Amino acid sequence: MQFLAPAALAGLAALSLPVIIHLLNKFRVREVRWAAMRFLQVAAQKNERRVRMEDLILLILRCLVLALIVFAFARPTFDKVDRADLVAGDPLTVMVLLDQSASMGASDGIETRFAAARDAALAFLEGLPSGSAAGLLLVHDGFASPVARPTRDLALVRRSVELARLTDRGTDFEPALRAAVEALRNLPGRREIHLFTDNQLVGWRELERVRELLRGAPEVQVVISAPSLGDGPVTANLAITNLRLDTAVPIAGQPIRVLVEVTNGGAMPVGGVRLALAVNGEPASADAVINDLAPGGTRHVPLLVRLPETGFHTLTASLPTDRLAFDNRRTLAVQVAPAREVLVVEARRGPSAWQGSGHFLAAALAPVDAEAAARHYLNITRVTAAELDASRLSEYAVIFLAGADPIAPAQAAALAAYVREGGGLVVMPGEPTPAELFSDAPWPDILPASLSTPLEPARGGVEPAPYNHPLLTLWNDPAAGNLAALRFARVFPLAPFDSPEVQVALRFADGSPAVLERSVGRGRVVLFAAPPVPAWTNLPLHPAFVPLMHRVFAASARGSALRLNLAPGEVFQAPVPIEQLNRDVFVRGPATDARPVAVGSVELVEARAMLRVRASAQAGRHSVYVGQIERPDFIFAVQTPAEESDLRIAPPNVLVAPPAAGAEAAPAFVAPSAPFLTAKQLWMIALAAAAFLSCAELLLALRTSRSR
Amino acid sequence: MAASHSLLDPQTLSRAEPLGLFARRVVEGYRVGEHRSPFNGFAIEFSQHREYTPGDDPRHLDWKILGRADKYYIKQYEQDTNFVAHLLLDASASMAFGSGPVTKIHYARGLAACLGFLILQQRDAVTATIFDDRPRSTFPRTDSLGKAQQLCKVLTDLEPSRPGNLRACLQDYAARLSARGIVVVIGDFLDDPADLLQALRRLSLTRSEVIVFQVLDHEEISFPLEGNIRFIGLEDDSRLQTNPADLRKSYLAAFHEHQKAVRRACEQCGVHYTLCDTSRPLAEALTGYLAFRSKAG
Repeated sequence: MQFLAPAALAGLAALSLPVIIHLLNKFRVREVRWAAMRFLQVAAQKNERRVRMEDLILLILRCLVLALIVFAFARPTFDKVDRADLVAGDPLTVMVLLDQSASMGASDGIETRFAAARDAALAFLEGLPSGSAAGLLLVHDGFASPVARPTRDLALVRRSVELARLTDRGTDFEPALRAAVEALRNLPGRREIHLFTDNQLVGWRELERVRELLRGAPEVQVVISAPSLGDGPVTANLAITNLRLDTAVPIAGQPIRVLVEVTNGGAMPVGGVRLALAVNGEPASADAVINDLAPGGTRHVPLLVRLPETGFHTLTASLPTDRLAFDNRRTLAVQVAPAREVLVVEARRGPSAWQGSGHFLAAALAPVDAEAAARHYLNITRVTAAELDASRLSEYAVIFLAGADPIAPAQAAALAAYVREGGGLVVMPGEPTPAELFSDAPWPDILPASLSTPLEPARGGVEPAPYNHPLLTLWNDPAAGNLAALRFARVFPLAPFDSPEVQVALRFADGSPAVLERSVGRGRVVLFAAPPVPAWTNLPLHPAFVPLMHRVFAASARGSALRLNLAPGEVFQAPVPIEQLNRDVFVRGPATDARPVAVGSVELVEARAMLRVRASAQAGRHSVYVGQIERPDFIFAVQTPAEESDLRIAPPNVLVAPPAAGAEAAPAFVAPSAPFLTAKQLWMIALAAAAFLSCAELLLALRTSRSR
Repeated sequence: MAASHSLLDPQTLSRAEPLGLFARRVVEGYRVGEHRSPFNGFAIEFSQHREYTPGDDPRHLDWKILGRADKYYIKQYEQDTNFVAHLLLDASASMAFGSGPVTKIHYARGLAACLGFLILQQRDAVTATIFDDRPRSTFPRTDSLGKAQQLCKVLTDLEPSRPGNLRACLQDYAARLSARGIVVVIGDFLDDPADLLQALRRLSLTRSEVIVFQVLDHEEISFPLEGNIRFIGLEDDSRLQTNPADLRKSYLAAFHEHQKAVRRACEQCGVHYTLCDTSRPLAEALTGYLAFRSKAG
C-alpha cells in the first residue's frame, strides 16, 4: 500500500486530541463538599470498573475515527503508482483536449472513436482528485474552447464534454496544444494536458513546433489518451479524396467532365465498388465501378454529367458506406454562369475578319457558326487597340490582347485598374507590339514577366507532361491528347518577376517560360510568349487550343474568385447587389431535415455589399438565402480535408523528441494516470468506516449515560 | 442576635399557629394545661372508682359508698395537664451542606425555633438539645414564651463541625428522660438506618411521642450535578473524583434504599416521619405536618 498524499499523514498528530481532551477533563475538576458520601462511594464501587472500561472504549473509538479520517485524506491505494507520474495526489490543473475531427468518426461497428474518447474524458473528469480544476478545448484543424480556462466547476466541464459533437473538420493538434499550454502557464500546482484523440498521424504535421512548445513549458505534461477502440487498422476504408470539374467552363445542358479521386485507405484491396455521382441531390445521374484498387492506391474516375440550367448546382459523389462514413461522400459546388462578354483586342491587316490577329482566338472561344453564336455562353467582341473604349472595360469578363497594336498609356492604365477590380486580362504580345512598350508603366505592375525582343527559340517545343498548373492538368490524361506537337517559331523571351503572385503555367522545352500567370488585386493576368497566329506558333491549329483558351478564360474571368468549395470553418463570402444591404442571411445545412437558419445580415465591406457566412463544420451542400428562404441565392459546399481519411496512427510517445547525443530525453509524454479511481475507492471506504465508528461511538455514549 | 431572630419566620409562624401542636398522646405535665394528664387523682372531673388497697391515701375514699355498702373504694379523677417538648437538633458536620443559600442546619434551626415558639405559645414547656457526636448545648425546660429568644440563641450558637453520632446521643438522651413528653428529632439521618432504628426504639421505651424531621438538600435527593467533580466528605476526609452523570443512577438507587430504611425504622417505632426539602419553604413542611397531625387526632 502507498499513499498518494502522504503529507496528510501528519494529521495523525490529531490522535492526541481525544487524549488531551480526556486529560484536560481530568484536570478541570470542581470541588464540592458533600454530605451523602456514603451513597457516592457505594455507587462508585459498583460502577468503577464498567465506567473505566466504557471510557476506554469511547476513547479508542474516537481515536479510530480520527485515524480513519486522516487515512482517507492520505488517499491510500494498493496499486503501485509511480510518484513521478502522480505527485502526492494533489489537486490537478488540467486542460482536457477532445478530438472532434472527422477521423474520430471511424467506428468498430458498435461505437465511434469519438464516443469512446468522450466516455474516456468523462471518466477521467469523474476521477479527478478533489479540488482539481479543468478546462476543455475541442480539437480539429483549429480548436473550440467551451471552457477556455481551468475551472473548479467540473460539472460544467463534464456537461460541455457531453455536448461536444463530431465534426467533419481536419486535424491539427498544434493550435489547441498551444492554447492549452498558454491557459496553464502561470497557474500553480501540477498541470497536465490530457488529449483524448485517435492520435491520427496527420494531426502532428506541426510536430516539431509542438515539441518546441513543450520544451518551453516543462512544467506542463501532456497525456495522450487514445481509446483502445479502433487502434488496429480499419480493414475497409474507401475514400473519395477529391472531386473536381475537369471542364474549363461548365455550360448548362452541355456534358461536364467531373474527376473523382478515390483512395483505398484500408488494409485490403477493393473491387466491384460502385461510385455514383448525383446532381443537386437527385438520384445518381452517372456512375462507375471501381475494380482492383490496392491498399493505399488512388484512382481518378472521370464521369460526365449535365447541369440543367445556369446558376448554382452541387455534384455529390458517393461510395457505399464503410466504417469511416464521412469520406464516402463528397460534394462539389458549381456555378453555371449565363453568357459572358469577352473582348478580343487585335490588329487587323484587312477588312475581313480572318485578317485580324484575334481571328483564331475568337473562333476558339466561340467555336460555333454565326447562328449558334447568339446562343453561345461567350459573346465575343473584336476591336482594335484604337477602338478600345476604356470606360466600358468592366462589362467584360476577360479581355484578350491578341497581337494587338500598341495600347495607349491611358488605355493601359484603364486595363490595370480593370484587373485590380477583378477582371481577367490575357496578354499575347505580337508583331506590332514592341517589347519595350511593356517596360513602361503600368505594365510592370500587372504583367508576370518582363519581355525582350522576339527571337526564334532553339527548340520550339514545350515541356512534356505531367503539368502541375490547373490550366494544363487536362493533358496529364493521355486520353485528352498531348501538347507534344506544339511548336513556336518566334517567341518573346519572358523573364518572370520574383514574386509569389507569379506562377509559370507552361515552359518551353528549354525550360524558359511560355505561359505565366499573376494575381493582381482581385484579378488575374495571363501572359503568353507568342500571339495566337500561325506565323508565330501552331498553337491556334492545335487540338489543345480550344480547351486551353476556355481554361484560360475560366481561370481569369471576372467573378471566378467566388470560392464555392470550402474547408469546414472557412468563410464563404460573395458580393451582392447594394440594395440587399442589411438584409438577413439564412443558411440551410446539408442535413436532409435541415431548415434555413439566420446567420447574420449583408454587410458593407469596402463600399460593397458583401455576404459573409462561416462555413459550418458539417460537410456537404449549404444553401444561402438573402432576405427570403424560397430560392437560394448561393450554394456552396463544405469539403472535409482529404488527408483526414488517412487513419494512420502516430506512436503513443510521438511527443518524445529523439534525444540529442549525450543528452537525456525529457519525457513530455506521460502515461494516463489511472490510479485515481482506486485511490478514490479506498478513500471512500475509510470515510465510510469513520462514519460507522462515529455512529457506534454516539450510540455507546448515549447508552452509557443512560445506564449509569 | 439577628440570626436568632431570623429563625422565627413570621410567615411560618402565622401559618402554623392556628394549627397548634396538640399532643397525640396523653402526656405527663407538671401543671394543668390543654393536654390530658395520665394521672387520675385529685382534680375536678370524676373518672372512676377502684378498690382501696393498703397504702392509698384515705382522703380519696368514697365515704358515701362506704356508708351504704360498707366497702372501701377510692375515687379517681381526670385532669388536663401541659407537656414538655424535647427538641433534639442534629448539628453534625453533614448538616452544613447546602446547594443554595439555605443550608440544612439553617433550615433545621428554623424548624426547631418555630416549633419551640408554637409550643411555648400554647403554654407548654420546651427544652432543646443540640448535639453532634455528643450533646453540645442545652436549652433548659421552660414554659415561658418570653424565653423564646433565648431558645433561638441556643439554636444558633453551635456551628456544625464535627461528625455526628446519632445513636449514642439519642440513647443517652432517652436514658435521662424522666417523664413522657414529645421528642422532636431534627437531622439529616444520613447515618446507618440500623443506628437510627436502635435510637428510636430506645426513645420509644420512654413512652414519649417521637417525631422525626429529616432535613435534606434538593441536590442530595435528585443528584443533578454535571461535570467532573471532586467530592469531599463533610464528616470525614474521604474524597471521590468522578463524573456524577456516570454514577447518578446507582447513587439514586442507594439513596432511595436508604430513605426506605429510614421510613421503615420510623414505622416500626411508631414515629411520625416528615421529609423536609430545603428547596421548599419551611412553612410548607411545618404546616403540612401539623395539618396531618390535627387530622390524626
